[in-house]
Amino acid sequence: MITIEDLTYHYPEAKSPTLKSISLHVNPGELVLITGHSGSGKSTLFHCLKGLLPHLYGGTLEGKILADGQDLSKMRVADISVHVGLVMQDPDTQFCNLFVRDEVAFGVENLKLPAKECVARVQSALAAVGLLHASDRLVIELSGGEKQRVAIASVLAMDPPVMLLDEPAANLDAKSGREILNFVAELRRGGKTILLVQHDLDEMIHVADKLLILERGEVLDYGPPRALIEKYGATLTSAHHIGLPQVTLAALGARRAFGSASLPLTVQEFASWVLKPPQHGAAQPRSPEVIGTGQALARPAVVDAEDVSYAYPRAVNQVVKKVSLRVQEGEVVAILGKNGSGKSTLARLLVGLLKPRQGVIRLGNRDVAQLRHHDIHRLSGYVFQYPEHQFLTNSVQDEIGYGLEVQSVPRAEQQRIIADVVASLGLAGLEARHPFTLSGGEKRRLSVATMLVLEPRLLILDEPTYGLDEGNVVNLVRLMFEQLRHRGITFLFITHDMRLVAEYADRALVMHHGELVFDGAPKDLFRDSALLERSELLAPPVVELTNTLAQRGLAVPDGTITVLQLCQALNWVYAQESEKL
Amino acid sequence: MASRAYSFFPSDSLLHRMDALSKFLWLVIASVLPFVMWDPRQLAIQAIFLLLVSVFLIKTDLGSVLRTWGLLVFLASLLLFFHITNRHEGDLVARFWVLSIYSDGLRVGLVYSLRVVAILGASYIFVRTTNPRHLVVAIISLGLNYRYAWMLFVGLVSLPVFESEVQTIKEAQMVRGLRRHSNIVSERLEMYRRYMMPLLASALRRVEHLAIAMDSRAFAAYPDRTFIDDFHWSWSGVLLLVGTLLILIVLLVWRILLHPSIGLVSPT
Repeated sequence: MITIEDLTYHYPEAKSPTLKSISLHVNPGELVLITGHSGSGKSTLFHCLKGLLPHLYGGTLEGKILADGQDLSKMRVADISVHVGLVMQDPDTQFCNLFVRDEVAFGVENLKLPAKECVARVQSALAAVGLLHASDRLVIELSGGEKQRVAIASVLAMDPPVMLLDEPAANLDAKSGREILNFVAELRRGGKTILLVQHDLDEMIHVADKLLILERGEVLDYGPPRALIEKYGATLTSAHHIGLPQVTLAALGARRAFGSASLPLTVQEFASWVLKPPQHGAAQPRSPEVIGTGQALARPAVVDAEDVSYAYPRAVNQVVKKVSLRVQEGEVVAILGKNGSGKSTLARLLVGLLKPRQGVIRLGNRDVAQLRHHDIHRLSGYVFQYPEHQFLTNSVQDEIGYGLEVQSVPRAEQQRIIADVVASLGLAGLEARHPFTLSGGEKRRLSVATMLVLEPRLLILDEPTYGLDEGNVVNLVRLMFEQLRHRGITFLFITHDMRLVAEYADRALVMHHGELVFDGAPKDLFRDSALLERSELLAPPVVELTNTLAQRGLAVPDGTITVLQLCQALNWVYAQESEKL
Repeated sequence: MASRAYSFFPSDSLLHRMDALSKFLWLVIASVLPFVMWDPRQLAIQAIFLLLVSVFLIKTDLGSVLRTWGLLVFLASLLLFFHITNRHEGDLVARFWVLSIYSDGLRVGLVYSLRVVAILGASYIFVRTTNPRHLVVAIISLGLNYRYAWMLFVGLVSLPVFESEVQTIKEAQMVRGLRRHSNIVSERLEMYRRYMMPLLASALRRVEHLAIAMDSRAFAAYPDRTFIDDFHWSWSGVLLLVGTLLILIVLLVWRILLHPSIGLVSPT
């Protein structure tokens, strides 16, 4: 169906090609999972397949892209759109209509099909994504998952046999993301050929027919996912910065439990292939290497909210309803909830960016409403989802020093603090660069550095892993969190990534329709399946694995929520067993 | 979510059901009318009529209507004050401490401020009741190339997105220690300069994504395209248009016959 022969693409004025000699073949009805670190050429490959490159944005393309024997690189973009459809990561940035029906009709209208046929196709596409009832709704009123389904429907209406999906679940909460990926699997079953870019392999690795690994614009490997996972094992993460599924990681970390069996890709495979469990009782985990302790210690409160409610100006409904919480010094707290549940509003209230309509917030025992802007700024920090929103100056050095300048810190002291933060966050050598020219991971580190220098008592990170690939998530987040911990800064982070919560958070707060419905240890949250269901959250795969193992007689210790904890537990169990033998 | 006052609000009022082109032409005539009127009382009647239409006929939330009209009245008051304090011709009408109000200043101030209220009030009714896509389809039916019409449409529907982006950038920079408000002009300019770079970066990112999404769905592939909703004139829209046109003609004839000295457009 799709054959790519020796594809090389050069962006205009780029020194070297972004894609180098890519060759691969995709059979009709296959689902190809594409992965690779940031900048490996995934999106560029999609844009070449869609004909956007080089036709609309220039550059030079060599080689061939054949679909049904026709060379796409020689076709007009409009003609390609009936062969290949593209769905991007952020649904909000791809809409150009107000109403759902108009958005889905956009593509077929451009193809000049008769109006009657356009209407029929729109209805059929909306029915396929389960949104026929929402036809007359405004796009902005939909949830994140619904928006992404509208984006898929607008491509489906054009009925291309091949669909390219560029991280369609990345901007969604876990449950909506899973629904979208399930729908993608359904599309494949319906006969579509799917190429899916995805950083997180957990959900789709077992569904995919092939895995394409890109590295620096070249094909590192291409073939059946199981074969590639077996071939690369842990080096996929360590050498190529690609995250393995949690189940596979756990199996790699507890090889002793598997004998000679191959690596599992799903919870069911793990549970079936693990060696017969020993009979001498429950496993005991060693101290897990996690930053958070999960213990509620009596320490002074950094921030304290009492019956806080908030509604945006001109809005009818409250987005935060009677929330009370107390965050103690040194705690690491995750704020969770589906899109629109009130997480970001709550966080903005805590640092005085918004003023509560009702209730009181105390930052360091002082009412935020009574504090001057200067004092709030000294006590708290907030790293936004898009770091570039916060950049104010023309160099990394000035950017880090800006807050110190505002606080009138003496120059010599400023230099010392800046040098310390630059070194500890791996920004050395970048001091003269303009902040907007940094990579995604560097921008994130810089925005944390701008806050660290002020040593706030409370720091809030909004989606710290947003837009980062697995290599960046592992290295950068660990680095950032360890620095915060090391400096004794209490921090809260808003996230959809439950693995991050399991690994780093002492405590989880769950928001649902503006209410705080859970405040406790992550392990207790992951145990409460009814609450997870109600709040539309998903526990990380390792929790599902732990539960399944327990059901099959392998008593993994209660509260095992990270891969490391599970591996330690299994290794302990099977080590005891071998010693016995 | 808060509804933005100066944007389309879906509803099923009589004005919503009128075709977009009649309403657009009505807006043009309604914006010309205040320049044909020469008496502040005529302008006041037009402004009150538009206010009553906003409150009772467009089926939107009353809060939005009152906020918008409150803002219009505030702007009009500023204009009135400016003219009263700067025009000292005609008879002295009243004196409040150091402020002397002369008849010319009052009349010209009222004419200017009521014109502003009338034009913005009419455009509020138009924007609130007209789906921008219907307007685009209507304009295209008049012969405008759909690529240009769509640019206008995308611009209109993107405005609220950028408004919210500016708000986020303001908050993001406040956290860095940048003050949101300053009365010193140089500080304000510096503040706007700092907002511009992130806003520009964000706008470029959005525009690039939107362009890719539109191009990849065959936008501009052909010289023309299908629209699932064709443009049709509506009786109610045409009646509104003809009625307003008649008022314009009557006013013009009245002026020419009764006040030939003041010309076609009102003096100030």
